[in-house]
Amino acid sequence: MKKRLMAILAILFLGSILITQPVLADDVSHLCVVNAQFNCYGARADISTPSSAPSLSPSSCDSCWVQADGPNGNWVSTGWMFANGGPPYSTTNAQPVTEFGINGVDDQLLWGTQAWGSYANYKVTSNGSWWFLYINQILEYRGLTLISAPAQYITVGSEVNNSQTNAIYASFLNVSWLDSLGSWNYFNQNNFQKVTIPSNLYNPYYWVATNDHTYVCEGP
Amino acid sequence: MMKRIFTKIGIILSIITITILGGIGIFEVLAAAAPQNTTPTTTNVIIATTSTSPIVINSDQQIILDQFTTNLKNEGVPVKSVQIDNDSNWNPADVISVKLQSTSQNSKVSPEDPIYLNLVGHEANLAKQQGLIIGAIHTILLNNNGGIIYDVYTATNNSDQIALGFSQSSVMSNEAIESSFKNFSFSGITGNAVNVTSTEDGQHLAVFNMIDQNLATADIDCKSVVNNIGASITNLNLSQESHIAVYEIRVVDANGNPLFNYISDIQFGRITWWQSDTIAKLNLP
Repeated sequence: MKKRLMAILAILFLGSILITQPVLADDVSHLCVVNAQFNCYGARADISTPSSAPSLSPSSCDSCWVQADGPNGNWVSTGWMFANGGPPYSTTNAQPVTEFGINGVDDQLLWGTQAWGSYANYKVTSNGSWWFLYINQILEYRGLTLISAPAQYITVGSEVNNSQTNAIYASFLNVSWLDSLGSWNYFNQNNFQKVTIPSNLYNPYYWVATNDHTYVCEGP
Repeated sequence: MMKRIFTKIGIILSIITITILGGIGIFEVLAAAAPQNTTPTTTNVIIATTSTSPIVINSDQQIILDQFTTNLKNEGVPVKSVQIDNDSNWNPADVISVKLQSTSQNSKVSPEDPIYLNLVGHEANLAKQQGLIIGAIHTILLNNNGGIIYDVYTATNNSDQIALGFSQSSVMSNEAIESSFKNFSFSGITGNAVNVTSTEDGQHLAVFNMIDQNLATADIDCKSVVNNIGASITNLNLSQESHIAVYEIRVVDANGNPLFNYISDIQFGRITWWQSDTIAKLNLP
């Protein structure tokens, strides 16, 4: 009886230790993620570039970003990109970019370079009337609310375009979303799928939101 | 008896220890599993949108502003009004506000509009280089009914491409550049004409007009054209200092209907494009 009780206690003791181990404070922010948050007013993240220039296939592009999506295909986004697509894309450096699609216009504005192996803060927010894009706390874009606020969904993610071989080694820190009260909240790590880069997220594979907090990879 | 007492004490201590450790663990798990409402920072980032108001500028600034307007009109941009507003969201707070008239009948832009929007940005950044004090560019696009279909502020951009020689005037003639692209055709798209003009600051604007007969492959064709022309311009800019600061690619179908309009401002780092709904979505970078 005593042995059995001690064995149960030992199991419980070990179990309590094991349960606590996987949960680390850094879990929330030290992952490369593709993520979605619904009905919110913004997102932000400190996003790194790879330690050195990734190998790009012809006409391909690697990017990491935060983005707000609304109805009618309108969206605003900011992050870094490294594109093999002719000028003014740099052939040697990652470039911070603000990008939006509004009523049939696709527009990309490049803002200098982001050094390999460095972090920059990217943020998209709305005050209900306008959407704002920031790079390292500097306002770069303000657009009319062609996306209603709160956004249908906010995404934070990495993307490889036009290549089955490109790979991004990048990190996202402090991935947060903005609520209606103006408070920043960490994304709920338990409610979305995470992917560690490099991944197989190549075109035509892409990640889409299927329901609240959930992302799945869709194949051809 | 003592053994039994020690055993009981041991069991009680074990239970207490487990309760404490387990409790901490459970709380940690619960904390991690719960929606992360623990705010990293509680900062009110919402910006109060200030109403903009036009301001009066001095004569030197007005001269640059007039040249800006003239340049846009010479490039065919349908300018309705230009003014300088004050908007404290930007630094400096002076914002060049440009209203354009689209031919659109609905909420979607017309095929030409992205070209115009990009040119407004290009000329505004040039005006800033020439001394116009502005912190942002405000572009408004009105459809035929007077409705706003595009209303965007963007920060002015300091050129990162000075290394390409845009601070100096080009020594290459328009004709010489045009001849470099004679008989250009790429993957299913036929080159129709390339027109090169000189800009006010001594650079070049190149317009490539092309025809795609095959709608089924137009998205792939257009993408190929973007890459090929981009590569050719890079080579020309580097090897012969052609100073092509801006280039446009306009692709139409066999009946002359627009399929794809693309403009790249190499000098100030901006790419803008439109595509027809009649072709598959282009997967550009």
